[in-house]
Amino acid sequence: MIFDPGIITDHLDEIGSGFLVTLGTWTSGVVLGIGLGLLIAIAQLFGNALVRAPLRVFIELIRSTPFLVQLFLVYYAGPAFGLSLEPVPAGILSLGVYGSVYFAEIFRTGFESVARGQLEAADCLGITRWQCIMRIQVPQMLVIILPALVNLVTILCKETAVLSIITIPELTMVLTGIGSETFAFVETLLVLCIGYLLLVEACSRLGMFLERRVGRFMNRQAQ
Amino acid sequence: MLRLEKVGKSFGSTRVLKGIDLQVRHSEVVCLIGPSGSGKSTLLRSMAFLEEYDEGDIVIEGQLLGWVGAEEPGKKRKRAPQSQINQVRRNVGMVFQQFNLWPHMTAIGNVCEALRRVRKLSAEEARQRGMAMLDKVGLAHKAASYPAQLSGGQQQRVAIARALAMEPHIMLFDEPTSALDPELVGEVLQVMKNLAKEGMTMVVVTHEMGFAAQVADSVVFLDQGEVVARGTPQQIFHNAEHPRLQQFLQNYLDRNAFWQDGKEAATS
Amino acid sequence: MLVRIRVPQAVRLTLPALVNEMILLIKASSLVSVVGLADLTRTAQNMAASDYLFVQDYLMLAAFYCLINIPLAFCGGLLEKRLKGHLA
Repeated sequence: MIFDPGIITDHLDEIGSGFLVTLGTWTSGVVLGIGLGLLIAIAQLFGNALVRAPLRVFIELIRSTPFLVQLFLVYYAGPAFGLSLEPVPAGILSLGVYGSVYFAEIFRTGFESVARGQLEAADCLGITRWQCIMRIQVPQMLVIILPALVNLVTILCKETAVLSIITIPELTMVLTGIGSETFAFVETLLVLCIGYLLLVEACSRLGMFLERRVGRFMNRQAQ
Repeated sequence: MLRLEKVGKSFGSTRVLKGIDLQVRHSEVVCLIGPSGSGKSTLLRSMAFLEEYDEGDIVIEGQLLGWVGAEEPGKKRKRAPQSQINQVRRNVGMVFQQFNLWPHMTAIGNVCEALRRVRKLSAEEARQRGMAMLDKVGLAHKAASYPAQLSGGQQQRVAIARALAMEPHIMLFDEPTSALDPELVGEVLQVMKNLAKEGMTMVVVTHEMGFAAQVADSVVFLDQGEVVARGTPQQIFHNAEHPRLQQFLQNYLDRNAFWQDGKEAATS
Repeated sequence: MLVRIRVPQAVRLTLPALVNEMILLIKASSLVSVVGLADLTRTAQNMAASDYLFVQDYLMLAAFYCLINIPLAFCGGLLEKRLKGHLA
């Protein structure tokens, strides 16, 4: 078997742009997911029953179907509902919606895990509910959910590979394309693995760094 | 200053408080004692409206706490708006068994938070008042420490400072030393004794009979949601008449004074 | 002997997590369609490619996955409640 790294170096700029597309769709999807997830979490925590019920249905649907299927629905079935998107926006939208549900779950459980006693103490001192949320619950929640957030962001990175199926020119599509042209499957798939490994590793390193900086003075409570 | 009339509370079908009457005068120290499940914590928490009491009235400095209007049989009273509850509770401070400090803020941060958010003091004024309070409980040197860096006794003292910073007229203590290692109990009790000497009105739920005997002006014994006995420490501890009270004190002595007078620890 | 003590407890502790894993696997299985295996997703894709009824075909696809996963998730939740009850 001949292992020819030259194949990789020949197509370096293609691979580079594929990597950037992956990076771009991943970060956009994450930002959208966090934004939507925040809205959903707020609606679940503070909304009335009329809002929470359809939300619950929506969440269950997203959680029960594969990402690929949701992607197809947005890209292929979308136009029938007036939503004709180019591949990249469709991909980002799907990724964002898919992630938002899981982000919302993380935000909600993190928010509720701040020990009840602290809220009672705040209440007794006359601190209003809003002040309590902003000054006591949110700061602690951000630290508590950090590991789960990093985990989810990593999962979404890996899900971007699925976007290749609707012809978004991201890393997977570029490298498998090169692979089928030149039949150099080993080299291309190896680089593909390394690419994702780099992204995931960078992400978790960032997460660990943040955890150490922010969590220094807080021991995670389990009251 | 604080008056409870026929206060009752149920959790579902269980009646936890049954017709409690209590009066606390200015500068009086009242200790609530009793076995677990007697309702003493629930009663104390009701005084801060952390539990909504179902029957009767709790009146703080002339104002009804938590409800609007007189009680009518068969009808549930309307809950007072939060601002009104806060208004009545303004002069009540509470200290919890689990301290309930906010772990993401320093000691001085904890103490000043309410001063800045509720009393709307400037950062400088709040800091001065906060440092004075920490000094009062003997922890001025730990102002920049986070709760995780403090011992249990120190955390509880910070919690007391935090409550005191709001200049309450009444301080409520819910088993303040029950979660502490025995060696750390003393420092917290000392702070509380000093407070009592200064004339603070205090209602303390405690298992520390020594504290109650030394500091309290009146001791109230609760059992199964009712006031079974009340009186001066002398009356309660030395002239206990009610059989349930006698049993309670006997249990306590068996557990705690086993090295005196040849009494052996009770083995059941 | 250890089998009679450990295995029941291990089963009790891991069953809810295993149900979750199964749901994840079922969702991941949709990706085998990429390598041509005629699973649910690939079949739906083929149908859509021939009759161009994207909305119906893909919605039905989603419905099938829901049909499998939602009852599973429900059972997982029930299991978790039942088993946790004995522990607390």
